[in-house]
Amino acid sequence: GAFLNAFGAIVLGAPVGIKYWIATTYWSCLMSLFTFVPAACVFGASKVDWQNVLSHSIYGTSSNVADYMISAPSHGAVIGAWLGAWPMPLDWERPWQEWPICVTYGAIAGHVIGMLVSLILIVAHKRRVRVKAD
Amino acid sequence: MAAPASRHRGSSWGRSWPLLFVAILALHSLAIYLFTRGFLLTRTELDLHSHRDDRTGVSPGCSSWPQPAVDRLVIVVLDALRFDFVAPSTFFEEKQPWMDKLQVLQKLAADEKNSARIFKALADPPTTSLQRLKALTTGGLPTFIDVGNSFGAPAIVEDNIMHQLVKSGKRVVMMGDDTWIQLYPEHFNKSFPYPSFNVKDLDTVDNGVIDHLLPSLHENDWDVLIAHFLGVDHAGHIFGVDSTPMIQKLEQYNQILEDVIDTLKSLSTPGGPHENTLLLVMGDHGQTLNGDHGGGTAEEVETSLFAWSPKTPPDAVLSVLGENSCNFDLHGKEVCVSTMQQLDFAVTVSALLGIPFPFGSIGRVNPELYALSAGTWDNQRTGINACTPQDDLVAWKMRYAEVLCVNSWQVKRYIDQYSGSSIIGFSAEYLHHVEELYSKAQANWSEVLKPTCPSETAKGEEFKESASSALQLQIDAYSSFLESFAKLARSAWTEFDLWLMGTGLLLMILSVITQAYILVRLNAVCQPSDQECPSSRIIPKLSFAFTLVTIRAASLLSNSYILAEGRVTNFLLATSCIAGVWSSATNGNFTIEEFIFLLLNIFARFGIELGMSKQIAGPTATKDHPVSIICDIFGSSFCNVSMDIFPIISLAMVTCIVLKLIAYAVHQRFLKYFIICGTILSYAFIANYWASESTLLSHTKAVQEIGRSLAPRFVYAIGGLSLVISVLWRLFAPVDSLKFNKRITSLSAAMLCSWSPTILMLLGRQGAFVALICITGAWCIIMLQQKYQKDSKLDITGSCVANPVSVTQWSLLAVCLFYLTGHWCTFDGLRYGAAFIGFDNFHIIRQGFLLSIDTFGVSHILPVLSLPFVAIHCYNTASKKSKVKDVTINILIQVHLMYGLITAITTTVTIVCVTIQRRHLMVWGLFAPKYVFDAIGLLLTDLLICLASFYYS
Repeated sequence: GAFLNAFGAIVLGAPVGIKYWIATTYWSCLMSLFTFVPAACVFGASKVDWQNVLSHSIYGTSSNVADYMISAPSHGAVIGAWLGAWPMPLDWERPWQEWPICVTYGAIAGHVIGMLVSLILIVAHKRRVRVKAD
Repeated sequence: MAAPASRHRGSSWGRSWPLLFVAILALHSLAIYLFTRGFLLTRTELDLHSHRDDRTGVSPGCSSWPQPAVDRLVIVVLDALRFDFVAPSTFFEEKQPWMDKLQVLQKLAADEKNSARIFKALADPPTTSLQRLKALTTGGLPTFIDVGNSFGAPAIVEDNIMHQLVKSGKRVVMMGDDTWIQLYPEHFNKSFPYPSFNVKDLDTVDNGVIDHLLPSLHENDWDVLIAHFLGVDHAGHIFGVDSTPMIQKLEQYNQILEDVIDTLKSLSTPGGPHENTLLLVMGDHGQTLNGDHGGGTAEEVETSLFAWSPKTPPDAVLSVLGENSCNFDLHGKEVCVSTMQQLDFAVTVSALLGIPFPFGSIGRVNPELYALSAGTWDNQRTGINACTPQDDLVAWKMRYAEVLCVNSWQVKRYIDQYSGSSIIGFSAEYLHHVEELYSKAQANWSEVLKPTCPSETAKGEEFKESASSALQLQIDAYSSFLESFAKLARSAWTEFDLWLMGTGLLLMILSVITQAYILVRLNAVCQPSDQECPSSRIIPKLSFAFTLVTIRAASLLSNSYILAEGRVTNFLLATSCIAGVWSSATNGNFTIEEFIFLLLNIFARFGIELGMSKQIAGPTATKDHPVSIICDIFGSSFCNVSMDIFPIISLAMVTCIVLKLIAYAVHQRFLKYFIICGTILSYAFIANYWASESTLLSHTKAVQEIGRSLAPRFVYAIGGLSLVISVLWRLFAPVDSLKFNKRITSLSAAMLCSWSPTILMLLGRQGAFVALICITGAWCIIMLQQKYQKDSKLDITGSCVANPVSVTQWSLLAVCLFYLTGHWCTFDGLRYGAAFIGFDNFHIIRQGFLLSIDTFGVSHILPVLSLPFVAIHCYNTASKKSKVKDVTINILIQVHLMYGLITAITTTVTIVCVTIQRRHLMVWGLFAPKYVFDAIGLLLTDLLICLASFYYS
């Protein structure tokens, strides 16, 4: 998981160099904590479930509460990290514009938002199920 | 416009679509022409110089350049000196912490009213140091593009004070900002330059100047001394005006100036070295409270000038100086402030030093500054005025009127020359008005001269009155001529024409909307209404592509993103392929192409960073660079060898791939053999050229000669020949001999093969690596597209909608390639070396052509010409129906249109951004070059699309 994340980050332009290795490692561990670890705990090696997590079409359709709880925060973390990259090239010369910092903030924020979304989705889903049951 | 073309429908598209692209090209050219006329102010530099023996004017009083009034001149330039740094705080509504720090100047201005004065100097935009220094010395109004400027080297070729000083045998000493050395490489007798580009360093330049300034004042080996301090400018850029470092800097300057003035005073005794010296303390431009400058707001334009001469002129000077804006300073003493135009500086200094006025100067000798120097009051002239006893004021006015006469003659000469030789002159009507003013003033002049020596019987007092008023009238006449011409020049050279800019922008937006509309229309036309599925499938892709383009376009609005454009584009390209991986992982069919594409992104990124590090060109940038790390690991000798060998290896790979491509794509036998021969030959020549350049193998001289000059020319010749042949084949080959698809692939392959060796040759060694990346990238995009097509084959049978994501990726890749090849969007980013591959001497058209091929080849020419591959492969897998030709053509149009649209959108956003930021600090450094590159790129893309449409249809 961490390797995949690090690879993705490097593809997207994370700096490579000896002084950045440690930061990149920490960051990718954090990201895999957000994304891969929960999924791996629940799904194990089931290929179909993994594909479900990746797919964005589950939001309306899935009936499984665990799906929401896993996929929404991890999507949120990835998207947040992606968005978190935008202040990096600006010339404000603040210390937090260094490589993994604002991306990490973005990832955490995205994760939290993803959790909230999953909560809302679960509630909405429950209600819908209840309505259907009625 | 595009309207007539869009009326056609269905199969008639095939014949009319080149017209459509021609219409788009015309619209874009018109829009860009209008915008450029409004935005990029241009001025032609004249390569003419004033000479000492110029016959200045016909009338008696002013037949030669004026006599010197001062012997030596000390100019202390304090960069970015705001007016309120110098003037007493009582002149402003509120006292701010940075005011009243240069106490010594205020005190002098209050105590010695006759010989010291504070001026508010009004600079003209662009208020950047380089342009200001040029303006100060040439007396002109430098614009962003001074036509005739030698590209690359900033040295000033126009006539200027420095040139005239050297010609007149004056010795100039310079210390401080090294920009002076760039501008005047061989004009200084002695110079102590210090690097100016490190903004964070507040003290190096200043301390260097301080070390040399006071000792130099005691020496006698100079006539003009220039000391340029940078601390205030740098402190403003880093900390802003309201900050402790700024106040410390000002206090430090106060101390230095006090020392300078004390030294001058002590040496100004009669017979001393500074008996007749003038001290000028001045800023080149102001700054905003944030420390920015470059634009035309009052804060940036208002700088100050302080003049003081140790020798006091007579009291009559006060009547010249005027007392119109006086105020009490902190100590209750009266301080007066005058206003002058910075434009007038050059000519006033020339008049004071008695050197010929610079040819292109359009300023007026400033009366107040001229009067301040005591030398102008010396009645030593034994001319026509000597016959009557005159008081100082009349004599001075006489002298000043003579100077103005010379000044007007010189400006008139410039007007005549400029109107004769410039591309974009002044408006004729206004020019006529100005010339009328001049002839009136000249006629008046002879009137004034006549009664200067009347009969002795005339009463002295009465005569003096009349002479004085006549002279005053004359001065006013000349002044009004000079001022109205300066006004005209200002409107032509410093003010944006917002109306033209707006029209251009509007046309551009209109054309983008038209293009988008046609694209939508085309989609609708070719959807044969039997299926709704494909269009619903295309929507997410379309929106994704649109989002990518929008993000890229929006990123152009900030200067930091323009600097990092290569990386931003790469980021977006990577995002698009990660999204592709994501979606294919969802479906469970992950292919090797996607992985290769990802890897490719990494390579592209390193390449871009390498290009960027060249741009910054600092020693720190290369340190943590991957290539140098690899070099560290393996040792430098290995590194050098691999640097030589690697391009050859990748060249061989490129050749293999290209040959395979030809074998696959070109179906006509004759064409195929010819192209294969041509390609092999030209790649062999390229290899030969590189080998002759490398140090690895030792050659005899003859071999090297052949390699150096002949090989590139052969490559160009082969390229041109195969271009011609493929066009001829296109024109004369029987149309039905091949299937339409195959015909187009053959054509485009032939086209590519004729262009690519030339471009490779020009790109140099990195070219092979770049070409590998380019080919792999293109291959990945095409393969992926084929895959998507296969995936959705179930429900697409008659679909003819081009894939927007692939086209977007294609254009992103093109932008990446631009940066990958070490280009960037400034004029010093052009690779001038490329223009001289194969040729030694300079020829403007030939070298310009090569340079433009090098700059735009890999990022515009190749991608546009290879667009048919995207279109064709898009269709290859679809079922063969009866209307194959129509459908293919339709996709071709769509792909071209989409590509053009993407380029047009980015250019439009660049234009919007330039319009918004036209008063930004970086506008001339960053936004304007970016605009020029984008505009040229857009026009080139349009042109190529047009040609391609004629070629392939």
